[in-house]
Amino acid sequence: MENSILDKVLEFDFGQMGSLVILLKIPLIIILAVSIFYSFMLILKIRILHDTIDLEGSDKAKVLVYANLVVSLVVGILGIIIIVLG
Amino acid sequence: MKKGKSNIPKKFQNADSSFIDRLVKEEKDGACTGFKVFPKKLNFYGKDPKEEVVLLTRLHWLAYLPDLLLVLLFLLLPILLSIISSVFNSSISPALYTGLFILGVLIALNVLVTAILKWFYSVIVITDRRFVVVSLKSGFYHSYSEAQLKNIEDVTHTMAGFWGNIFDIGNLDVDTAGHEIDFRLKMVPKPRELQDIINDLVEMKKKGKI
Repeated sequence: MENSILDKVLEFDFGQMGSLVILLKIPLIIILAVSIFYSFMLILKIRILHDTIDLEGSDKAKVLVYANLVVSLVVGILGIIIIVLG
Repeated sequence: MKKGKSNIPKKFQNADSSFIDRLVKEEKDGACTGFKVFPKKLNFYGKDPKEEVVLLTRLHWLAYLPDLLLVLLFLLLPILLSIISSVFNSSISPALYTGLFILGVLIALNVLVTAILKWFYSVIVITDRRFVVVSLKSGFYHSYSEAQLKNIEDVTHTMAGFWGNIFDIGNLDVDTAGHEIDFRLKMVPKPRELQDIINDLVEMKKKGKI
């Protein structure tokens, strides 16, 4: 019995790994979506911090965070499309 | 009034304390010291109208070195994966590889922006009434602590080993009266000067000079 399982494992054709690739794609898409969500969270955090302490150059920090969200959205969605269609 | 003290508020101009001259010198040394002396454009939650901000400082950039290394790691991750796949002679599909590359860049970008924000918003503010510490740990967590100068009992600084000696950084412990929060600040630039400033301000506060 044990030998037959071992034989099946050894006989597995690693060239036909289509389902494994799909399995790898799902976590990638999830992590990309989480990254986009995190960029959005940074904007909320900056709003709260801006109320807490108003420093010289706070506007630059705001611009940086908004730019990060835009870049994350564009790059993230592009990445998801490439992974899904690829 | 001595030359170079024009930026100093009136209540500090006649102060007989060593820290005023030291602050003026710090400001003249330039931005690389990390100290902002008597900043005008600074407001924080609960600041009183007549409260004067004496000093604003941030943690040393070395405190954010692990974040920068993490950025590098995420940028190098796709390259490392391609090397590993070529060593084990297994081919990753191009779409998956592109996805990994984009993911690495995206995470690196987010870590970098978070590190910049951590540096920008993790500040130590010393006013003529209180000692404020704002600390941004991540995109999800930040803390705001303050202690009245009159409640500060003991200030201690320690130099942080090898890097401390090279970059003149250390840790600053501020103990307050009673069971209130004590401050344990790590990787602070010029900790002995901060200690002197806080001690002088506490002394002035207790004598009723400010």
